[in-house]
Amino acid sequence: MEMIEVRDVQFRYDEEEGSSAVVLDGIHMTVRKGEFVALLGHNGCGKSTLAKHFNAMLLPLGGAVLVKDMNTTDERHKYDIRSTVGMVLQNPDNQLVSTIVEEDVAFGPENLGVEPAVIRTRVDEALKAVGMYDYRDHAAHKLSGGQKQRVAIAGVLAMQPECIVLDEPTAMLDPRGRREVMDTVCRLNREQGITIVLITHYMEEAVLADRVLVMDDGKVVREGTPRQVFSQVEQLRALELDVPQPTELCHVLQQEGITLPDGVLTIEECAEALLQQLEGYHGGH
Amino acid sequence: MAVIETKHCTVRYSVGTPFEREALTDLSVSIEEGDFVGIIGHTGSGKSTFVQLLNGLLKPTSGTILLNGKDIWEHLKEIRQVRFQVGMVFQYPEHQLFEETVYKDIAFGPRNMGLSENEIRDRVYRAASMVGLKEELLEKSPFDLSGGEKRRAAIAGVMAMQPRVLILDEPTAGLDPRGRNQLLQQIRAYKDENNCTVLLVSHSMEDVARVADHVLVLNSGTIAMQGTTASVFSRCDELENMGLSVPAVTKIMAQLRRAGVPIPDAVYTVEQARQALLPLLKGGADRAV
Ligand SMILES: Nc1ncnc2c1ncn2[C@@H]1O[C@H](COP(=O)(O)OP(=O)(O)OP(=O)(O)O)[C@@H](O)[C@H]1O
Ligand SMILES: Nc1ncnc2c1ncn2[C@@H]1O[C@H](COP(=O)(O)OP(=O)(O)OP(=O)(O)O)[C@@H](O)[C@H]1O
Ligand SMILES: [Mg+2]
Ligand SMILES: [Mg+2]
Repeated sequence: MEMIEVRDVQFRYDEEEGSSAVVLDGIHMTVRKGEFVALLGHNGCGKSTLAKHFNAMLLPLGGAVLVKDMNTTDERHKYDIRSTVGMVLQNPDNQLVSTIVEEDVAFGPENLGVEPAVIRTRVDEALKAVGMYDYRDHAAHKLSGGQKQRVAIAGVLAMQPECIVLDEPTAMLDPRGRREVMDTVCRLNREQGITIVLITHYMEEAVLADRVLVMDDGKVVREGTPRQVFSQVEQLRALELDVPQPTELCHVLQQEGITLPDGVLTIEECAEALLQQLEGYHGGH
Repeated sequence: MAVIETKHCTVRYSVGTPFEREALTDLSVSIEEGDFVGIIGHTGSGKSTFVQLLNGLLKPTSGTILLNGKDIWEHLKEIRQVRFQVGMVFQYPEHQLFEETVYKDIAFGPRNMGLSENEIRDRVYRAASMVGLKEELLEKSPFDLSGGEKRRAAIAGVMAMQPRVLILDEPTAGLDPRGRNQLLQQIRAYKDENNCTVLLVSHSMEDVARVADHVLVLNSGTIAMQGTTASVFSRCDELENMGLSVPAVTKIMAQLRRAGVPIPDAVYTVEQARQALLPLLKGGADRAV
């Protein structure tokens, strides 16, 4: 049984045939249990729309979405689906519901009927995980942009879902905050086996995933490990995407005729590959 | 000449409540006309607070702000003029969208400035193309756009006013990589053509490195560093201690330098790295033969 299975899904916002553009056009994809999948694609290609199908916020007009074999169109499964797949929306302001930070984080588990004592510990743990524990009694709407985003993530963590979908969770974070959120995401995935779907425009974050899916105009057009996907520099550029900076540096040097391995992804790999090439130079002295 | 100066500005939020918080402390900064300044700082360091002071959206608890040498709060009625001269793209600018169509939203600022319908039209199309907003989206409701499309619409609205000082608070957050590159190039071109001043707040060290001439670093409400882009990004350890970073290429170059490769100091873009490495790599190939 897969965590999420998307079968030939069609979707458009305006249900009248022909009146508006098709947003999802025959999407086929699966997310396996325990997997960490990154979803990439240019602005407006349908990522958020697809993500909202994963927990029945949107329902397909054609095809089917199954969450642990439960069809999202089946009303009876709605509650189970929502508690299985937690969602951090693209814009945290839309997600903040309460005025006080800790009440906001407690909102999700309260809705799921979790016991008050358990909620207390979950809220504290979730706030610590995102580094916002000291702000627990602050007013949510007065936080800085990045602080709001972390509270939104804590809200979903406190629900302890089996699968977490994060729609651009680090867009407003500083480099340390970005690293902390990505560390948190990786830890939840590796240590607690939580399935992760990450939507991002930061290529260096996608590198951390087990598998990368690339969308273009309502279709999944590329799929593979980060190394497979990011070694296709020109193809990605044609899809309005890019590659991580270390990959780009190797690519521009390769174009100058320098021999470097394909699919270099990280700072360390890049430095190592360059040092190997430079050794000939130093050896020559 | 300084176009904007802050003198001993302090900002306190929620004064008199248990949540009273000093967001900026005794900040004195001077921004030169025609400069392209990148502003970086950890989350909550006061960047948005700082830039909101500069166009009179926020009044400092104490201190003064000078625009072209004049105190912007001296005559309350003139604050509207300040906002035409100092254009601001907010963080989460999509919250400012409110008109029925994207076209009307972008046209709002120019219309307020009393421009002719033709001029307005011209500016809307120019601004939309600058930010890479597809023309077919202009008649859509701004609420029915994707996250990145909303962001572009909001930025276009400010660009259409063609302010002398353009402030952008995290404009590229949520844009796809091509959109990011395009927008940064367009902002740079806009600045160079009009010789105006640009302040860019960003959490992307790579973006700041690519376009800014000077960088201002805020840390817990005070100025921690200020200088040329090269000089600021050469202080990697200090930046990391403040929750910041340097571009990935700068880190790669630092590793090579530690291994004894003679790499010059100021490398913070891929292009600079290419230029620094090619002679070394090509030299190596020739010698190996
Ligand atoms: N509520 C809506 N009503 C009508 N059209 C919409 C609505 N929301 C999104 N769209 C359109 O559907 C398409 C896909 O939008 P979606 O938000 O899924 O894109 P995305 O891939 O998440 O983009 P981004 O990277 O900018 O967040 C876009 O062309 C957008 O204009
Ligand atoms: N209206 C407000 N009331 C009370 N405190 C506020 C208010 N706005 C901001 N703050 C606080 O002031 C500090 C500075 O906030 P500011 O928004 O300027 O930070 P920032 O550097 O822009 O952060 P980010 O990178 O997350 O956007 C933060 O600690 C924030 O919580
Ligand atoms: Mg989206
Ligand atoms: Mg801010």
